[in-house]
Amino acid sequence: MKIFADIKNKVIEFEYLNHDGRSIIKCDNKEQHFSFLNIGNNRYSLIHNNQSHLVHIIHEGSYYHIHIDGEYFPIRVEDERMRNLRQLVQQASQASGIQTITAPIPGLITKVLVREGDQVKKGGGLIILEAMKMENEIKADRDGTVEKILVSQGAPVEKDQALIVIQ
Amino acid sequence: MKLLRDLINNSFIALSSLKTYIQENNYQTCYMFKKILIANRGEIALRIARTCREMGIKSVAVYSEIDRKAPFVYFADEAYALEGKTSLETYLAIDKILDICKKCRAQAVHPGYGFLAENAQFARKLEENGITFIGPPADAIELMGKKTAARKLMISANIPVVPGTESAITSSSHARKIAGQIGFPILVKASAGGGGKGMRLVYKESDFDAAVAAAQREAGSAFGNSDVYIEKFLEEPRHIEFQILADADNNIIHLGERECSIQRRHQKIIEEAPSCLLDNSMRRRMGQAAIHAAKACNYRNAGTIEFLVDKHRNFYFLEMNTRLQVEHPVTEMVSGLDLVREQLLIAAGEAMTRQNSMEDFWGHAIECRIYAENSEDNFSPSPGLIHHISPPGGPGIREDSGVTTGTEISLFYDPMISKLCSWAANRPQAIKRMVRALSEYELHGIHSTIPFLIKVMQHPQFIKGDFTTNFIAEESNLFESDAQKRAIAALSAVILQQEEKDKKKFHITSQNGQTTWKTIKRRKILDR
Repeated sequence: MKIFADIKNKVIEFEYLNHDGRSIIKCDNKEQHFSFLNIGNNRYSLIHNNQSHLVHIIHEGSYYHIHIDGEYFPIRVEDERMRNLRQLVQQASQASGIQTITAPIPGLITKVLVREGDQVKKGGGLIILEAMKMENEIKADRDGTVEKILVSQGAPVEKDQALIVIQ
Repeated sequence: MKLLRDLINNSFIALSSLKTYIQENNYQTCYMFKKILIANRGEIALRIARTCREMGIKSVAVYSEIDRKAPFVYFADEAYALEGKTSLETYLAIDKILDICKKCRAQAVHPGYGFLAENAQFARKLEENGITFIGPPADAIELMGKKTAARKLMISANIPVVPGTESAITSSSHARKIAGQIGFPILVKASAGGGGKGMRLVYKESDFDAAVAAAQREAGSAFGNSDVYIEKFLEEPRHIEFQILADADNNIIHLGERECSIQRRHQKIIEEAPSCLLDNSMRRRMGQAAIHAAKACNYRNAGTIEFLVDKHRNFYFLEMNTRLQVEHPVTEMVSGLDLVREQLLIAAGEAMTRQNSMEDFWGHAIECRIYAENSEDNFSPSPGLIHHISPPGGPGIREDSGVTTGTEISLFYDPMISKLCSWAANRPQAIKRMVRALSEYELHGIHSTIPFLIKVMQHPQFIKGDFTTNFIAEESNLFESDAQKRAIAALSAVILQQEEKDKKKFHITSQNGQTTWKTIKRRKILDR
C-alpha cells in the first residue's frame, strides 16, 4: 500500500508492506530500519540507521504535528484512496469559480479594504489582520469580484475562519 | 598568651559579623523597599520577581484574564487581577494598577519593559501618590520618549545624530520633500515608538504615502500616539547600544556595549556582549557619548543609549531607551551584575555596586530571542498551545521564559516565548554552546524561531562577526527547513499512523466488551 506524507505541499512517498505479520516501511524502494518507542508526553525516541532522534508528535485529524530538533512540520498522512478522494473534492470546488479567503492566523480585523461588489486584482489588499501587534495584509490570490464580506472591522477571527468570498 | 590571642581573634570575628549584620539589617529595614508591584507580565515579570525574592522583597503581580495560569503569577508573593483581556484594559490601565498599589501597600513599582515602562504620566501619578517608580524621572522619560525632542537635545550636547526631520510629520507633501532631500531609502518611525512597531522602510518615493499611513496606524494602536517622523536609512549599519546606570547622586557609569545588529522587521532577535566591532578606543568614545547623553537629560536609574555605526565606523545617536532592555541578561553575564538589583538600589537611594564604568568584560555572552513565529512563512505569528516545553541546561546556559507546558500563546500580546543566553570564555565557544542549547530545546505545539536561530548561529558571516542590520533580509536561505529533518519527520508520521491503525483493529472489537485475548483466540481459530 502506498502512503503519502505531505509537508507543506512537498510530498514524500512511502510504501507499507506486510510480510508474514512483519510490517515493512519502504521509502525510495529501500526498506527502512528503525526502532520507534513511545517515551511519554507524546515524545518518541526514533533510532533510524543508528541515528538517534527525539520526535514529538501530536495527531490531530489527518495531520501529524511533528517537532524534531526545534523544527516543526505539520504533516498530512494519507493512503492512495484517501488522497484521490480529497483531490477530486478539491477540483470540484475550484471549478465552481468561488473562492473563500480564510484567515491564515488568528487575529483582529483592523481594516476591511474592499466592499462587496468591488473588482479585485491578484495581489490586491483585502483585509488588514492584526496579530501580536503586527499588521498583516491579506491579499487576493487571483482576479475576481468580492461576492461577500463575512467579517467586520474590530472583529476577532480564528485561524482558517472564512473572511471574504471572491467570485 | 594563646588564650589572649584566641580571645582577640574571636572578638574580632564577632565584631565584624556584627557589623555585617547591622549593615544588612539597616539596608533591609531603613532604605530598601519591603514590597514592590510589578506592572508587567511574562518573562520580565518573573525575572523581576526572582531578584525581589533574592533580596527579601515581597513582589506583587498583576494579571489579565488570559495570564491567570502564567508562571509570573504563581511565583509572585501576591497577585491581583486586572479585569479584561486587551493590553488597554489591563497592563496599560494606569488607574487600575494605581488602585492595586494602594490596596496592597506597595512602596514602589517596577514597570519592566514595554507597556507602561516609558509612560511619563504613569511615573508622575505614582510619585504623586508617594509610590516610587523604579526607573528614570518622569521628565527624562518624556524628553527621551519624544524621539524628535531627544534628537534636538543630543545635537545641542554635541552627540552625532542620523540626518532626518526635526519634528513629527504634519504634511505629507512637506515630508516627501524632505525625504527627497535626504535621499531614499528612508525610515518612517513612530515618535513614541520602540521595538520596531510603527516603523516602515521606504525605498522609493511612490511607496512613501502608504508607508507613512501604515506606520501612523500601527503607532496609534501600539502606543496611543500616531506621530511619525523620518530618518535617513544608513548603509551597512550596525546597531550597538550602551548600558548606563545613573544613581541619585548623579554618578553615571556605563557597563559596556551590546551588539544588536541581527534584526528582523527592525526588531532585535540576537544580541551579544561585547561587540566584536569595537576596539578599546572606540568603546571609550562611545561610552563617553552615552554618559553625556544621560547627563543631558538628567537621567537616573538604568538606561540604554542606542547608536548606529556605519561602514566607516562613524557612530550616530539613534535613541535612548529609558528602561531595562529585553537583552539586559548579556550585560549581566559579562559584568557579573544583576541589573534589576542595581535598579532597586538606585530607586531606594542606595549606592550602586560599581562606581566606575566597565571596559573589560568576563568572557562573551549571546542572547537568542525565541518567538512563537514561523520563520519559513515570513515570521508570521504562530499562537497556540504549548504541548510540551523543556528548556536546555548545562554549562554556561541561562534561560528566561514566562511560559510552561500548557501555556496558551495568545494573540493579544508580544509573541516572545523565551530568551536563551549562552556564556563562554570567548565568542566562538559561546556560539557553539548556543547551537548546542538551541538543539536541546524541546518546545512543542507551536512554530518557533529555534531552527532559524540555529541556522544564523552556523552561518559563516555570523561566525566571522561580519554582518549588518540587513543580515536577515539578505540571507533568504536561512528560512528553508532541512531536507533530512523533513524526511525523518515524514517517516515518524508514517510509522505512528501505521501503529495507530494496527491498534485500532483491536480496539474496534474490544469496544463490544470482548477482551483482546478473546479476539486473538477467535482470529487464530479463523486462521486455521
